[in-house]
Amino acid sequence: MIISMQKYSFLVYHAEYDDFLKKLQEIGVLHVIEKEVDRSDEIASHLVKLTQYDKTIKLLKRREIEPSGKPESEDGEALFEKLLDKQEELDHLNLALANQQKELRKVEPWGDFSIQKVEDLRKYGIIVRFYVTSKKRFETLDLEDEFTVEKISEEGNFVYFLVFGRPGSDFGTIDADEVPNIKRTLGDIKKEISGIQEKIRHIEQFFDTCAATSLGLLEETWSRLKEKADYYQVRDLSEAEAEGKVKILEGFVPATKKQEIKKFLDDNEVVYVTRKPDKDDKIPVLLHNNRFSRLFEPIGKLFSLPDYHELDLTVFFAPFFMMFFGFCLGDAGYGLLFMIGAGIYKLKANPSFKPLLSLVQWLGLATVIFGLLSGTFFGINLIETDVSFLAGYQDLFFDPDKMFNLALIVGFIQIVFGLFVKTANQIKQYGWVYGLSTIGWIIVLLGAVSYVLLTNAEILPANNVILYIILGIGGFFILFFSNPDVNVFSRIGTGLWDIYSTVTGIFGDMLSYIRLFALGLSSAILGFVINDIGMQILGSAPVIGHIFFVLFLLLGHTLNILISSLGSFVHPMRLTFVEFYKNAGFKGGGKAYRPFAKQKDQE
Amino acid sequence: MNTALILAYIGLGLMVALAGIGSAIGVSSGGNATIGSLKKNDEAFGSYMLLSALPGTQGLYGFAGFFIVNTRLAEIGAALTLQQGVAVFAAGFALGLVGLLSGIQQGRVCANGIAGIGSGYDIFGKTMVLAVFPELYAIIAFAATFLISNTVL
Repeated sequence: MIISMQKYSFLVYHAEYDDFLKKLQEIGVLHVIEKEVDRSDEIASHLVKLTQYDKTIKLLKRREIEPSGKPESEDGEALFEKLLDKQEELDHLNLALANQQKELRKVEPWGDFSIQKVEDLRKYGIIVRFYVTSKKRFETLDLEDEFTVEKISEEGNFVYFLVFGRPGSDFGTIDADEVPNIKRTLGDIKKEISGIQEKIRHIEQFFDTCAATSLGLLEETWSRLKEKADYYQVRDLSEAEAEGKVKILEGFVPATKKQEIKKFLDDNEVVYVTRKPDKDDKIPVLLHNNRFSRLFEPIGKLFSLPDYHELDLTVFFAPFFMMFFGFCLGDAGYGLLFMIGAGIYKLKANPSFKPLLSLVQWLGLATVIFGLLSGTFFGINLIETDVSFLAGYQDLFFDPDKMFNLALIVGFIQIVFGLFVKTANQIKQYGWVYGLSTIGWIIVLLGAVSYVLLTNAEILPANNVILYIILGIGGFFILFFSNPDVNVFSRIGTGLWDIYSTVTGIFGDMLSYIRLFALGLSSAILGFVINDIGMQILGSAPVIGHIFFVLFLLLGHTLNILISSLGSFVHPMRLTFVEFYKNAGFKGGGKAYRPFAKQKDQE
Repeated sequence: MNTALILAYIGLGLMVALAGIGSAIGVSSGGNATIGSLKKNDEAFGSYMLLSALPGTQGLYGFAGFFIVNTRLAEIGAALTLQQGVAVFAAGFALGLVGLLSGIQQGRVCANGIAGIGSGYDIFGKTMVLAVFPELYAIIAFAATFLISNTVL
């Protein structure tokens, strides 16, 4: 269900405006209407800070350190700035480290030597140069007599060697690559690297300490800043009237919060106008569902929130979704695991996580029901297995053929149900006349099906006149009311088009529900294959066979549960969003209700 | 070994092999896109993984189809008629080919979705729904295999 909204426009004297906004944020019920305004520098810088700080918090959280101790200071913003500086420093250090390591690789083949001694030799008239070449070319190196060669090291196919000569020697005749600019020795570079590593370690340690002591403080600081940014943004959204003396702010308040806003406005003697929103307003959407359907709201939101003016379909698709999941997974054993597992996890789970676990339990329940219906328990086919206590009941299980038909029937039911919802939606949004064509479709579909069923059961005599009457009445509504806004001839045109598209559409939609059967069958078969291979392992060796049997079953069924539940979740989603939403005429595109509030209330 | 049996087992081979290859290529596209997106946004790994896993099912349909037919084939053995052999071949060819192509294409949809999520768009749910569009036809082919084995074998 969508909660109805009331539109409010406030007129506030400019001197009291800041105070008014602060109190408004305190009660946190107003969804402020957003407008195109230029962002002030103040807000822009705030938003940049918020993203930076948010990243910092995530960086610290990723270190996964148990909280302990107290922060050094209570100044969260200063700490944020320090952390940002340290991050920048860390980036620089990492870059420097990479550079030094590159340098190290260049110098390593020459070993640890003294640059000073090379310089000293130069003073005595001996020039030293560094060369590298391939092994083959080194062996055939042909030098003038004035040069002396000293091989230093070999690495892979390369030989590193020194050439000693005199000033004025022509080094250009040497057929090898010279290594220029060796200004530092191995020792120097290693020392520098360990210096950088030490600094990095310090920074990492600082991060660890902050992650342990200050995450709470940082998150609180972030929330305060967010509130401030929200506040500035709302302040900029107000229009100034009467030469800036009066500020106007507009927004929506859900009907459920009417008392709170009224008390606030009366207490503060604010001048305001309130009215029901009209069609042109962009009204935010707040859903309110019962305890069961509320669990399915996150699934609906994966597609889109409903538009404010249409029906919220959560309550209508929830039971179907649950049933479809059960149909696709269809293993009573797996379902039991879901119910028990989620139940145990619930005992110590975070409260915000509990609705999700309840959803898992409901889906598990549906899986148990469909597992019992199709006779599958942890991959064991109960129809064909000899189980003494099941002997009298094995005929009650649905074999795959029956499941195939059941899938189509379930699909038909959801499609017709969707048409009912569509009718309600059209009547709610536009009026009675607009719902007539869909009512025509319901008459045709339900009428034809009941006719066939009743004549087959011989309750009704086979008389085509009855069928024609049903089709005639339905057809009349379809042909003449598909688009009530145009003249009679155009109505017939759109009506014919509607007949063509709906007939092909409904046929395709129903076939789409075959997936329920096929997914259920494939997960059951995979479970069966796992058991089958397991039994072969069991018989293969006396003791080890038992161990591997258990291990294989655990691994196999875990994998099957993971893969099959993913499919069992996604395919019902498609049936909901495509087949059901289409037949129910769902458009979506609503914007969520986000009150201007303190951080804690927003969560 | 008669022609019927040869045809039937070639069909089974195609069923498992082609559908498996389709899934292998599909999940690889997803995996590649995930690695690219992790560089931009490494917090949505859960979504990436789910999307990458989606094209994995075609191979399983191929295998489940193989299982249905294989047990029946073993029971019938040399008594397999040519009609049955051709039917199994056709089922294998259909499921294999549809599995191959739908697996590859589904992988592409998933890969684009992953890239989108990596770039910061909130399209996880929508990608999931769009990605199972191509999978339907592999499911239909699997259902057809089931029907063939039920009616012909």
